Amino acid sequence: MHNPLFQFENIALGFREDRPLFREVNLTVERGDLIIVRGASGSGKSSFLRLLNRIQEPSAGRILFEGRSIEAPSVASLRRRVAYIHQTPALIEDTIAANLLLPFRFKACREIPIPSKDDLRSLLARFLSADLALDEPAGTLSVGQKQRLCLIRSLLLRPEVLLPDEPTSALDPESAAIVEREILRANVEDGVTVVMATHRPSAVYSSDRIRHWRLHNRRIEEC
Amino acid sequence: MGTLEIGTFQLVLCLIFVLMSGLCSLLLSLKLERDILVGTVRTFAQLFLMGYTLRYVFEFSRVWVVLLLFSGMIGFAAWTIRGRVKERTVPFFRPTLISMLITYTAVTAVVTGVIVQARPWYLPQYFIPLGGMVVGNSMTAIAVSLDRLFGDLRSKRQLIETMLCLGADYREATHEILREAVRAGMIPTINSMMAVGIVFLPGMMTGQILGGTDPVLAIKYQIVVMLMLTASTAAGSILVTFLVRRRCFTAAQQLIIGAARKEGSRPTP
Repeated sequence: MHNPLFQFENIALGFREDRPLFREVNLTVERGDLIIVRGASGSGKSSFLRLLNRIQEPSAGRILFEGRSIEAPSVASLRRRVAYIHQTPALIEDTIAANLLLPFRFKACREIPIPSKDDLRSLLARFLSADLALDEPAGTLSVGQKQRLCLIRSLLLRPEVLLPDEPTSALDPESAAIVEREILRANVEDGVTVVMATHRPSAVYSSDRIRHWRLHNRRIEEC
Repeated sequence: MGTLEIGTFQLVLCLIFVLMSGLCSLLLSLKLERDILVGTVRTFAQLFLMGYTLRYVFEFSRVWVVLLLFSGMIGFAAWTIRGRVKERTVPFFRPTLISMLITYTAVTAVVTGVIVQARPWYLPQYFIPLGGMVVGNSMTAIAVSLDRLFGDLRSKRQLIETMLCLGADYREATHEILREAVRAGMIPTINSMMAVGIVFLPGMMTGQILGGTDPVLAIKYQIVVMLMLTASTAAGSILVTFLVRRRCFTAAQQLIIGAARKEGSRPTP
């Protein structure tokens, strides 16, 4: 029997019973999909993405992951497989290398091979700049560079699903183009499923195979 | 030489100090007059109540009476911490009380039974004043640790969530924060160890000297007290922050503090 990657059954989310952010969401995400979730600022796009890796819980309804309740796998293993990337980059006060290798300290990530310094350098050159050294403090990077660093860090964990939350909203055109290109590449070449929240979708995501969902009037619908 | 008696007249005369601070408050519009008045009344009432209670406990000298009084003191301290720490999202009174009961009773019992070698170990003349010092000093340490813990969890919420999203569990995501909270609670006690005997003479030592004890013996007691306080602040702060940190997360490793919460959601019991 075919099981979608994610299946939403009557999902609602609200902090007040009488004013939900959204309700009666009945949608599915297939493996390999690239889905753009659109909607006005504050409409609940981020909250919706956060339901997919259980950093937040729905107020009503049920989410199935690979045909089983999303609560079935351990939270840590779910989050390692389903990577949510915050809108604002959050880094520890340490070097670029320490930030990239941060998840490899965690028990849930121990079976993933730790990337070598050469791997990290080539990733830095591809995503940021060949001039950046791994031992430079991450705090000196621009917001755009920090956002790209967060994207590399998530990709190093080889996630099956990527949940970028407004990944380009605060970026300069150059940073935004790199982030968009890499998200698309991860989806097309590595088969990573992408569910991305944005209030201003880029022209990069105009192919027919890309699905668009719209959060409007407390509903999320395919458009 | 015995201790000089303080009569009722001298006690009333002391109120002149209160009047002075009340006057300062009025002149500088500090609006502390009411607090000064309440504080003065409570000082008289609480100390007299404790004095008469101790007289009874010393005479009766039963283990359950001593431990009951000590538990009451700890309960009051935990309640004071509850008022001092502003965080209300996470219920922390019970873990604070439990940690304080365990660590303070253990530390005080070791000091009276093993170090001072009081017989029996709960001899109230030793257990209550020594335990009282443990409670009084470590109460501040725990309040500081909890304030720091909650403050950092709130201000570093996004970094914690980022780590959780990368597969960390709540312990891994808050390891640094916990360490800083415990450090913050312990530093004042360590600093007072540096300054004791030079910058200030502690209350217990002063009291013993005023009571006619040989200053060298008073110093020995004070050394015991200072070392005992480092143990109790460390043990108390560590246990409280460990227990309370768990309550700041749900069973699904979601940080409660600073989150928009849906109705009816509760932290992990």
